[in-house]
Amino acid sequence: MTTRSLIATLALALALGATGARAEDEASVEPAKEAQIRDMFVKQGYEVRSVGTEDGKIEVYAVKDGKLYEIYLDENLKVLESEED
Amino acid sequence: MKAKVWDPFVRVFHWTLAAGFAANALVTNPEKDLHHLIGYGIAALLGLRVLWGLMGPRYARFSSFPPDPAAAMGQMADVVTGRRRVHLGHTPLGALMIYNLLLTLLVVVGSGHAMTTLAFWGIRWVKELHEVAVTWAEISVAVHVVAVIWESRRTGVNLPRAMVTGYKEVPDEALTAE
Repeated sequence: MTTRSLIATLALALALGATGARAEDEASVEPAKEAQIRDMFVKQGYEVRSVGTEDGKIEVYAVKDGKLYEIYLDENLKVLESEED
Repeated sequence: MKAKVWDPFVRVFHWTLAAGFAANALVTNPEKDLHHLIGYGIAALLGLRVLWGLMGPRYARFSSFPPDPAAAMGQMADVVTGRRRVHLGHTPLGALMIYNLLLTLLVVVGSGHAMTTLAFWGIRWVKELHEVAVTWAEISVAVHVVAVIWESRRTGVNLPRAMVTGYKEVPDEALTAE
């Protein structure tokens, strides 16, 4: 392998490492909507840990009665899935 | 000259760690049990490696490859000047990479475990710490692989093969150092 191809390999490896790392997008939910979501879950007795997005769905990390929940919502804040970890 | 340098534990540790890290960084779903299982496996490997570094055979011990910036600069000088000096155990730059990877992976497994606990569930900075540490580990692995290829070519010692067989085969004309 020549020096040049080694350098090319290094550049490629770095690029792959950097882009492969976190392909998922983590667009944040607009503040008003996040406040509404937090309010909705707090009223149901949850402690809301964070609100974000995953695969185009709103993702809420919450805790209730010592149990860990990951809850997915659609744009209209309808619960699509609630996973207990 | 043929020198036995890597004991079976060091070799199995190296390749198992590499496979486990690759699987979790590139393949497994972070939210599923398999990812967590491999993570705990990596944690166990790291713990065993630390013990082995304290009580294992000569070339496995941390005392045989202490972090040594002056020696690392010396190795850099060898690279620049083209001097072929072979280190039988870990090279000074290799040693720095090992400590970097061990510490980085400890952060990865520690933060990864924390993400599953009541105390840190859903806490954003913990998730970000996990992701930043993984990205740093990925960059480090890329540099490690290229450096190993580079040094194998420069010194004439096939380092990947040594990590499989346990023996460094040193060209007769090369200068050797610890």
